[in-house]
Amino acid sequence: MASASTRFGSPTAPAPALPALAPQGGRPEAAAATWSWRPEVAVQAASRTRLRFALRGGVGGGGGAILWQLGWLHAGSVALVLGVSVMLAAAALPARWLRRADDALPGLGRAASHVVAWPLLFVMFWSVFVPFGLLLRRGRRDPLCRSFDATAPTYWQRPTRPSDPTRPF
Amino acid sequence: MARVLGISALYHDAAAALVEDGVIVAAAQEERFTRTKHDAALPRQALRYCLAEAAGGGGLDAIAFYDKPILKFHRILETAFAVAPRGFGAFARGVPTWLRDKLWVEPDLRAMLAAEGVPAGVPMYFPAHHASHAASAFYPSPFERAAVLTLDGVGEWATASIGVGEGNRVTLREQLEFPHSLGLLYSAFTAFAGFRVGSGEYKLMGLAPYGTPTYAARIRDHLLDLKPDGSFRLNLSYFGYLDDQQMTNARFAALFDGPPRAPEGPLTRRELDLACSIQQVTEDIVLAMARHARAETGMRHLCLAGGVALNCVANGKLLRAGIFDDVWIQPAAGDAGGALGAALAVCHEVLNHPRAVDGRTDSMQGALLGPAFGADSIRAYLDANALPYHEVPDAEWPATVARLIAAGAIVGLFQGRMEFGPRALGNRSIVGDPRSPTMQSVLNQKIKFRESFRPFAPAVLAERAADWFDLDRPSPYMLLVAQLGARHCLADAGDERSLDVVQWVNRVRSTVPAVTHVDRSARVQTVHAETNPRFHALLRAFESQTGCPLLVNTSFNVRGEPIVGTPSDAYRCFMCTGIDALALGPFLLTKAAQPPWVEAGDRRGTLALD
Amino acid sequence: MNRLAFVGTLLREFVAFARANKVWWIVPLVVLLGLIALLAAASQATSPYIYTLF
Repeated sequence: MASASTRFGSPTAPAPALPALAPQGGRPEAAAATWSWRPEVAVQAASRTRLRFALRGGVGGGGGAILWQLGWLHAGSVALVLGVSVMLAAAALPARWLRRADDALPGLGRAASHVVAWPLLFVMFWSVFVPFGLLLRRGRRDPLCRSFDATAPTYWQRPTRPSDPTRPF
Repeated sequence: MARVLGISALYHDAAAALVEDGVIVAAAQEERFTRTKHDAALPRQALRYCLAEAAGGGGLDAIAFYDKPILKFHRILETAFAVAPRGFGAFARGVPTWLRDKLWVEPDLRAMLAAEGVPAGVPMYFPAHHASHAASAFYPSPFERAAVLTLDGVGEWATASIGVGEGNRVTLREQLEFPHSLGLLYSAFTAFAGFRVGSGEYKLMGLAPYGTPTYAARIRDHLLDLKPDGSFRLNLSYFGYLDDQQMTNARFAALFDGPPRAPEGPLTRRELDLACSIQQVTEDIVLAMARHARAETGMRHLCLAGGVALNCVANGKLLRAGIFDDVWIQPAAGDAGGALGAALAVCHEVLNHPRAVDGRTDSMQGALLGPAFGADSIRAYLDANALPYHEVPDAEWPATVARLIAAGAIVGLFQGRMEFGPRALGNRSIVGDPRSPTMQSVLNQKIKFRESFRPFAPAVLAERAADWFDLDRPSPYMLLVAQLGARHCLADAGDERSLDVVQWVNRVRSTVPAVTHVDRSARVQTVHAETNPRFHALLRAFESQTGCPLLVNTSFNVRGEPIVGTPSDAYRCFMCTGIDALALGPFLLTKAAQPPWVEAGDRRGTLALD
Repeated sequence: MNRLAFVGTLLREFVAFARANKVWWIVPLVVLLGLIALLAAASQATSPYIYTLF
């Protein structure tokens, strides 16, 4: 690399940075731990998906049975039928379909939580953020410093908030 | 031993990094494992990989998360107060992600680590976002002491910061705060020009040389108040990111002659000129900030990180301006690099581990910090799938692959450790002959399936770089743009601005047209025998066969897909594109010999465009 | 389950943050948002296949 450093170096500038020597390991076992192309891995994953669905069906069906026992005949029977059909599906459907359903489930739960959270956030926004926000603006408090200051020599500012790496703030 | 696991997640590019006694052992982005571009989820697979690289067992001493969630949440709430009664949409979309995921980083991460066998009770630290960037810029740099400049969209509150690194400490002295952000300004233009925020910024930068800076004065006069020291405030009445889900608003559109370009719509002169203008303004701001940093700190060297530091055109200008004697840029300058920075910050500043530096070499190890697959496991994969290959002995490998390239083949190169950061540097790369006048359009259209205006980067033997480019120092991470040397350029073809962009870019303007942009610049990667001996040997072989020490080097992926991570990813990409041959470790696979690919066909429909 | 154990810590951190930065208004706000989050999480968990359990 002698030729390179003489070529790069100019008489006045200090020697420029070269990348580190010795390309380091990277253990093949560590790489292999992240690579799951083998067919048996896919089979394992498929059986895990089936088990998960069967458990879901079991929980749903079990819950249904309890409801039925408690006298909630309608809800109980619906949950029972649903749970049993999920268990049957877990046993019979192709793993590919189950996986697709599995991927869709978090979305379903998320949609449900959105439906609940959205109106609550709406109420909170209009009852807390809007009135207090307007009040603060009347008081000319702007934490975002949105106006220009032609007289200021700089907009650089010293960090003012305490910064302790042990805390999440 | 001080062993620290760094994590960045939940915003852009999730990543994990492992540092032992200040030495970077492993670092990888989650997207490479999950195959979801810019995957932001907690990096389960990346951290599993990093932990697997830990030498000789033993536990973790610390976990470092790359930002401060509570402080960031504070910014979200303050912003909601500041813009109310507007901004309910942003509030209703943003706040649930906090309640659902972002405030629960610590328990979620601990649960994930417990599942990987990490015992409970390892202390967890939260260096600030820009402190993480600054650490990623300074600690791996070759400098004993240096000024540090970080620039990105936004962290907690800071959007830019200036500090000093010395010994095993980085002290941030000054900052600019949200919503006044150079990264967000650049992203606003990216979105307005019809590209995706977070990945389209490179495209905007690539378009800049086609344009003229006709809008630069309008940007300076209307969009910002810039002080001589590079600090600025934005005029938020033109932007939508406070109270809307859009980056820009109708007023912005009125200022810049009409509505934003539709994604994938035709590129007009306006977009070219906008790209050129915002690039010029960005460069001016970066240079002014650098001058200020030099004056404030008195340091002779500068370390740079944060997403804006990936703007290699601005970096090249900064270097040539001579404000600092030398500049070092973290190759994973974006949020992925925050994982590395957080780990380094905790290792040095919390665990007080001393920093070793020799003043000459950086400690990024060529950014080759990811998984390296052994020949045995690749062979097992090829054999199990009955894929025809032949093994090339090491001594013959460079000449064999170089011969293919010289004959016009496009070769997928998969070897050694995966790169950390957005660039492929020869280990997960597609390479071709830069002398071919059709290489650029073939690579863009048949391999990468991407816009034809986008230029490609040259990889050049480090010892030949000065013969070819106006570059007096190494650029191992493809982070500097330099002009092609005059003797390699062809005579000027006159004014080309009347040409269509595609015709324009396909003009032959040098002896290496595939890697020469319309302004005769190139995003250079110097290849060093020390960090990547195999890629270096390939370039040597190509030079001895053709006299040209350059190769086209582009990342091994198609548009919208993360760079390939494993041999099976590489094989799939090889089979789904027009790549002619695949060098998979020591094995060589040619397209003609392969059995038909079951997923065969056009992949463009299956991936979201970037 | 990890999250449940963490609620107390998270609240303590918010209070410490409010004290350090004199932004006391954030505490009642976070409690309110926490209640909303609880309701949302409950509805998510009781959506047909209680997937979060797995």
